Amino acid sequence: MNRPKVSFLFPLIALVIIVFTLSTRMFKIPPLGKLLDPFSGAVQKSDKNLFYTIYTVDHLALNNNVEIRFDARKVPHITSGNNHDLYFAQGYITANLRLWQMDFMSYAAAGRLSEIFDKGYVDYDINQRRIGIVEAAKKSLALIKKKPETFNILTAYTKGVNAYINALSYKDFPLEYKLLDYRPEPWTNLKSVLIMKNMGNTLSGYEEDLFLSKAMLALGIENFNKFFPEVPPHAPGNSSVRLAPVGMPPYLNYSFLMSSSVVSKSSYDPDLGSNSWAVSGRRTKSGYPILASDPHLKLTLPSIWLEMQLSSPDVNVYGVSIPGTPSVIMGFNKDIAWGTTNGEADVKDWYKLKITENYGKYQFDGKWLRFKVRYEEIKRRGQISIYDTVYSSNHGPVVTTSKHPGSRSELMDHALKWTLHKPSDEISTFIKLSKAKNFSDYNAALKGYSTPVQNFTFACVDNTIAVNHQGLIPMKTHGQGLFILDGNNKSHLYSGYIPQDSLPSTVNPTSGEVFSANQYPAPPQYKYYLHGYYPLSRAIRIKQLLEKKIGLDLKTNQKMQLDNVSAFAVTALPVLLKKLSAKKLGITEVAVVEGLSKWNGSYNINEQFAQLFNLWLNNIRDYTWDELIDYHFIARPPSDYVLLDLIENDGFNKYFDKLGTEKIENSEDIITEAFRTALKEYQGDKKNKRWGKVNQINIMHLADIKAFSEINLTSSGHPTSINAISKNRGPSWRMIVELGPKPKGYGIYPGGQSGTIGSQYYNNSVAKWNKGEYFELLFFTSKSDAESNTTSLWHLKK
Amino acid sequence: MIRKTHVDSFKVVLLITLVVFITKHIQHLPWWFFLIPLLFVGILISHLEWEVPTFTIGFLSGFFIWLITNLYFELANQGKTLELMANFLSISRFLLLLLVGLVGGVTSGLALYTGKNIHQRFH
Repeated sequence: MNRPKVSFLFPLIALVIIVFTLSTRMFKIPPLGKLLDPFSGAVQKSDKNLFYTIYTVDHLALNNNVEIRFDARKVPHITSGNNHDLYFAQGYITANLRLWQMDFMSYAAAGRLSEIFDKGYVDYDINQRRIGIVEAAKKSLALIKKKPETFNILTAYTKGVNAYINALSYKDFPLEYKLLDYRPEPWTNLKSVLIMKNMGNTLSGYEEDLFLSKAMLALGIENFNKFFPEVPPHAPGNSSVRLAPVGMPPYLNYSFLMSSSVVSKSSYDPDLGSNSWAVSGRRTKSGYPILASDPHLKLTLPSIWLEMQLSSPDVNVYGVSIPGTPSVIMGFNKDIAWGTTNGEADVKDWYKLKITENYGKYQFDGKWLRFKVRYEEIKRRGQISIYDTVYSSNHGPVVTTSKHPGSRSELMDHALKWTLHKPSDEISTFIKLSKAKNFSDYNAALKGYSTPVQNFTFACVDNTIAVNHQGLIPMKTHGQGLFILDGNNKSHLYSGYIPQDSLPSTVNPTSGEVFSANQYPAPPQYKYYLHGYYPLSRAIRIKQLLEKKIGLDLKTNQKMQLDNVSAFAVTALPVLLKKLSAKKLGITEVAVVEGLSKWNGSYNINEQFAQLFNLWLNNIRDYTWDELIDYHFIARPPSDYVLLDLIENDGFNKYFDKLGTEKIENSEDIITEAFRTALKEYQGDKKNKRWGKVNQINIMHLADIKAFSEINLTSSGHPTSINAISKNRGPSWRMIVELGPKPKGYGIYPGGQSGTIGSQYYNNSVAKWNKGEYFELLFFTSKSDAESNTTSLWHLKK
Repeated sequence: MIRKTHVDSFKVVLLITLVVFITKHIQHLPWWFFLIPLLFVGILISHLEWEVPTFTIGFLSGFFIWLITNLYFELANQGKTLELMANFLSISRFLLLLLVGLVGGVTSGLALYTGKNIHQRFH
C-alpha cells in the first residue's frame, strides 16, 4: 500500500503554531507578533499627526469647517463658527491625544475592569456597581436629555470622539490597547457622564461613620469632642471657628453596632486637598485681579488634565479639561477666571439595616419593606460572566453583603445614602462658566451644580472676587451623619438639602482676598450643620502670605503656590522646643536643637531639618496616642493640631503617659524622649537627611505599568504646605491668571499633552513641574494672534 | 565570481521585500497575512528551480526587514517606544531587538520553506 507522505505538512503546522502563539496573549506577555510588527505594532504611534505642520481630515459630520492650531507644547486651540462643531472638535482632538485614557476611565467608572484585565478586578467591579455610579450616571443622563444646551454639546462631543475612533485601524491604536490586546469601543454620552460621576466618587468619598461611632463609644463625649473636633483648634485668623460639641446619640451603643472586629480604612484620601485664592485689583501691582488655583489629586500619566482653548462666537475659554468630558473644568476667558478646591463635605452616610434572611425585606419605621433588587452582569475576559445582585433600601444600595464582604466587611448590611446618587448635570456648570462675563453669570452657572461639593473661586476683570461652597449638602441636625445611622428609624433619614442661596459664600470681602484650602468653609455663626474633613495648615499659610500684602503680581503668586513652609510646623516647633528638657540632652544633642530652632518650617528639597522634625513629630504622635492604638478600629489618630493644643494647654493629660513604663510621663517627658529617638534615627540614616530624598514621589501610569511611569522623583513639599507634594499626590495643575485688557495666564501640570507612550509630549512637563517652572498659557483673541504663535494647523472639514 | 545561487538569492530577497511592503500597506489585514504570499514565493522558488537556501534567505530577509523597519519608524516618529517596550517586558534593549528580528525571521523563513516543500510534494 502506498501511504501518502505527510512530512511536507510539518513546516506548515510549525508555522501555524508559531503564528498562533505570536498572536495570543499568554502569561501577561502581549501578542508579540502583532506588537513587534514594524508596520502596525508598537512603533506605529497614535500621535504622529501631531508632527505635521498642516493636516487635513475630511468628511466629518460638521456643519462648517473647523481649525485647530497647536502651539509648541501641543495645546490645541480650536476655532469654530458654531458650538456644535466646537465640541465635536474637542471630542475629536481629545480622542486623538488621550483615547486610551478616557476609554479606560469609563471602564473603571462603570466597574468593567474585569473585561480588560485577566484577573484581580472582580471585587473592584462588584463594589463599583454596588455603590451605584452607573445607576447615578444613567439617571443623570436622563436629566441631561431634558436640557438641550448640555445635551447637544455632549452629543457633539461624543460624535467627535467616535469620528476619530471609527477611522482607526489596529496600527493607530494607542499602545495600551496593543499591550492588553483589546480594542477601543464606541464612545457614548453615558461614558462622559460616568467619568464626571466617578470624579465625584474620588472627591466626595469622605466619611468616617463607623470609626467615629466606635471612637465616640470608646472615648466618651468629652474626649471624643476633644480629640476629634469638627474643626481643629488654630483655625485661620482670630475668628477661630469652634462648633458646639457633639452629643452621644441615644441609639449609639455597642449592641447597636454589634461590632465585628475587622475595621479597614476608608478608601478616602484626606490629602486630596487643593488651594485656590483670588485677590482684587486693589491688592495687585497691575490693578487687575489675580486668581490662582492648584487642585491636588493623585498624579498619573497620562495626566487627569488636558489643556486647550475653545473658541466659537459664543465662547472663548482657555483651561484644563478632563478627557472624556466636554468643556473645561478650570480656566479663564477674557472677563473671568475660576478655580476649585474640594469641598470635603461628608455627603455619604451609612444606615445600619435590620434585614430578613436572604435579603428579602428590611425594617423601616417598624414595618418590613421589600428591597429593590437589581442584577449586574460582570463580564470577565476569557471567562464566564459573574452575576451580582444589588439590594437597595429606601436609603440606598447595600454595598457589603454576606455574599460579597469586599474590603469593608464591617459595613455588612448597611445601606449607603450618598448625594452622588442624585441625578445631576455638572457639565452645564462648566459650559456656562466658560462663557461667563461677570459675577451674575458665574452665580447662575453654579446653580444646580451638585457633586462633588467644591469651593469655587472666582475673579472678574471688574474686580469682583468670590468663593462659593457649592454642591448638594444634606440638611442635617447637629452631629447627624457623623456616626452610623439607624436604618429602621424614620427620623434618621434626611431629605432636605441646604438651599442654594444659603450655601456659604464670600463676595468682595473688604480684605480684597478670598481663598480656600479645604478649610471649614462657613463663618462661625453659620446656621446649618456642616461636617467634613477640613485640614487647616495650608489655609493658615495662604492667609499669612496674602494678609495685607499689596503689589501682588504673577511672580509673587507663583512663589506662593510653590511655598513649602508648613504653617503647622511653624506653630508647633517653638512649642515643642520649649518642652524639651535641656538637662536630659547631651552636648551634641543641644547643638542639633540649636540648628533645628532656626528651621523656618520649610519642606524644601534641600532642607536638612525637615526630616528630623518629621521623625520627632511622628514619635510624639505615637507616644501620645499609644492608648488609642489598642482600639483596633482607630483609623487615624487625632489631628496634629489637637495634639499641639493638648501639649500647650494640658501637658499632664493622661494620654501623654507611655504605656508599658512604670513612670507616669507628661508631655515634657515624651517630647524629650521622642526627640532623642528621632535624632538617633536621623543621624543613623546618612542618605535621607535631605528632604527631597525622603519625599520621593511616583507618577504612575493609569494601569500601574512601571515602565510608563515616572518613579522616585525627589521633590519639595508636604501635605501641610501649600506645595502639597507627597507620595503620589500633589498639585495636579498649577494655574495663575491675571485678568486685564488681555488675560495673562501661567500654568503647568505634571505630564504632557499626548497620552501616547514614548511620545516626547507624554511626560515633557514633569521635570519642569517638579522644579516649579510655569508655562505661559497662550490665550488667543484673534486669528492673527493664533497664526503667529502656533506651529501646526489642522483642518477638520465636513 | 558570481554564482547562480547568489543571483537567485538576491532575486528572492527582492521578492520578499516587495511582497512584505505591498501586503503591509493593505489596511485591516491580520499581521500574519504577508506569510500567505510568501508561501507562494516559496512555491515559485521551487517551480523555477532557483538554487536558494530557502529557510536561511527567508529568515535573514525577515529578520532585517523587521529590525530595520522598526528602527526606522522609531526614529521617524521621534519616539522611544522600543526602549519602553524593553522596560515593560523587563528585558534589555538588545534582547528586544533580537526578538523583533526573530519574529520576522522565523515566520518568513518558515513560510518560504513551507511553500517550497508543498511544491516539491506535488511535483
